[in-house]
Amino acid sequence: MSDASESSYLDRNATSVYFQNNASHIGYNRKRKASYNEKISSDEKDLYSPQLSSTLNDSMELVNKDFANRKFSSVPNTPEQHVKHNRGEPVHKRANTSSFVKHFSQIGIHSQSPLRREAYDILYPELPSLEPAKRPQTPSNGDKTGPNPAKKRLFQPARIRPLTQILSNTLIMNKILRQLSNGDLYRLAKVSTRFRNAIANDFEAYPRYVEFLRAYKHQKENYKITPPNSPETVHKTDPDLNPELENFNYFCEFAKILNKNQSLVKCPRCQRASIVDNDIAQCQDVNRCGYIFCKRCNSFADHPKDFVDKCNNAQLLNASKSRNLLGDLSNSPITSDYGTGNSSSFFSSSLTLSSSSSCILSECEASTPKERVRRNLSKSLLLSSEMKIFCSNARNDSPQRRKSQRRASLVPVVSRDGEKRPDADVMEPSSPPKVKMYSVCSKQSKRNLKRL
Amino acid sequence: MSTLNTVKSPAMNVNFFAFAIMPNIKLQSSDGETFEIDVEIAKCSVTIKTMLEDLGMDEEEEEVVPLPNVNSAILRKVIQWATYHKDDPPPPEDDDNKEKRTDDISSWDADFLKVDQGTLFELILAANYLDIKGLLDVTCKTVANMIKGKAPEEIRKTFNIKNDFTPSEEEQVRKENEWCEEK
Repeated sequence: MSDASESSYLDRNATSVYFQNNASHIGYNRKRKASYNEKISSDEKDLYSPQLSSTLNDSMELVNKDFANRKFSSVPNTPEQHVKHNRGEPVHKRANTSSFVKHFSQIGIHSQSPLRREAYDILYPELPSLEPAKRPQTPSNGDKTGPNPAKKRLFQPARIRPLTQILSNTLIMNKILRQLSNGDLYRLAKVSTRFRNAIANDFEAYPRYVEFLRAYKHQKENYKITPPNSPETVHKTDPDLNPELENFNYFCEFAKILNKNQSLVKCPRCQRASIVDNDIAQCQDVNRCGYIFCKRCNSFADHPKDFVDKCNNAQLLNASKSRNLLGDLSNSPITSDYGTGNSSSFFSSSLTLSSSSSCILSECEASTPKERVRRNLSKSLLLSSEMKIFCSNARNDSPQRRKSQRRASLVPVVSRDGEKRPDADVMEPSSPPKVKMYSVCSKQSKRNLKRL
Repeated sequence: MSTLNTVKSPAMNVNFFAFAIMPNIKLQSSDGETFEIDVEIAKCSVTIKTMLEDLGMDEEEEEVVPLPNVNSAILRKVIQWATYHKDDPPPPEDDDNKEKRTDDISSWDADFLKVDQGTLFELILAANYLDIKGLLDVTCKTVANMIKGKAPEEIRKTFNIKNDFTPSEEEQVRKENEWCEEK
């Protein structure tokens, strides 16, 4: 090949190399994450435009110069890039290893941690290992402006904070913790380890803290119900719950078929499983035992057919009591005499009520308090002369009839020994007995009048 | 008049005219500043009192009592407090059964302790070092009032404390705070 053809070939190669380099550095190489600075002035663009020369040397010089003038901003992933990024000098000037190492030491990678330093030595074995960068311990005297507060703090000798001294002083902490409540101690222990240790080292505060912690745990509603993988789950080794025992599997079988409201207890007679439902337990070994008993009232029977639960009877009596509370709201003077009459059970009282069959009393029983009040308000109207006649007749009734009425009114009343009257009775204004009698007579008299 | 010149802390609320009559003592702070005060005031500190008694320092001597753990600013505050409370009766002994109250700080003490936290902690340390029970009590009560009724995070903010619990300890604290576990 001739010299001319050789030079043109080299020029073409140089141009291709140039474009490849530019392409790889400007934006096509994603690994380097390089981004071309778009804020380049038009003059700079002219400067960066490829200017090819006729010779290889000239073109290479241009390429190097142009490449050096480029401004790249890339994320510093490696120490070299870190140096380039911070230094901002052209690449060809950074070819000197010693200058690179010098700048590398200024970055402070060596002073970060020994592990990083070791990693640096492994990654860049050709580079000489450096001593950690020496930091000035005190600010230079020639600095007139003085260091900023952060630097000043760095240069100051390590000084223990007063709070740290206080936390480590048991006498002072005892004085402070003594003033705090148990809840405050609990919250203070969660601030930091120093506070927790201070509380743990205090002979007075620590028992209070433990006591509060225990009480706090027990205040939780379902604290004992913990998930199976919870670290709080405690597997107690109760000797009674030994799986090797004979009854264990037997109880487990019954435990599987229990409903939510049911539980298992031992039968007091045969020690077998008894299912408890609504406080009534029945032995499941029906053929041999079949013992049934109430856990509440201890009533029991050998067979379910013979079992009579006293608790249920008591509930019925309570129901009758609640019914009587409405009756007590009446203004009847007779009702004020309850307690003096016979204390009969609900069933007997209902029988007596049916036998008496007094329409007056049945009205009294069925009427609501509002109706009664309304009736009281109309008392004045009932005091007419005609009514007085019937009332006088009613008053002249035989004492047996009055007695029967009175007894009938007391029929549903269950004995209330030692029981307080409800407030509703007190609130309701009581009317004089006579007026009540008038009111009672008035309805009867109305009917009599109609018959007449 | 010479006594007045020797006193280097003009901000002190000290009865200067009494110095001409009462014996004085010189206290030197850690940074070298000297305070000349009445011996009776200085004896509020049990440490100084014991030092005077044990070492047999004559009150007429010009000996300087060095206090290397107290700087001048804090020592000035301590002398100010001791001067105000010099006629107070001796504080009662701590009783465990006695109800602990932190709201019985006098208004003067409350105003006196309206300082930054660093000064307050330095005062506590100085009171502990000088063994001034009254000052230690009132400063500790002030710190207790700063803690009372606050959540841990609020306490951290108040005292600028970093939460240094490990993740496992955090998990434990979180479990302790769980009010109710899911059924």
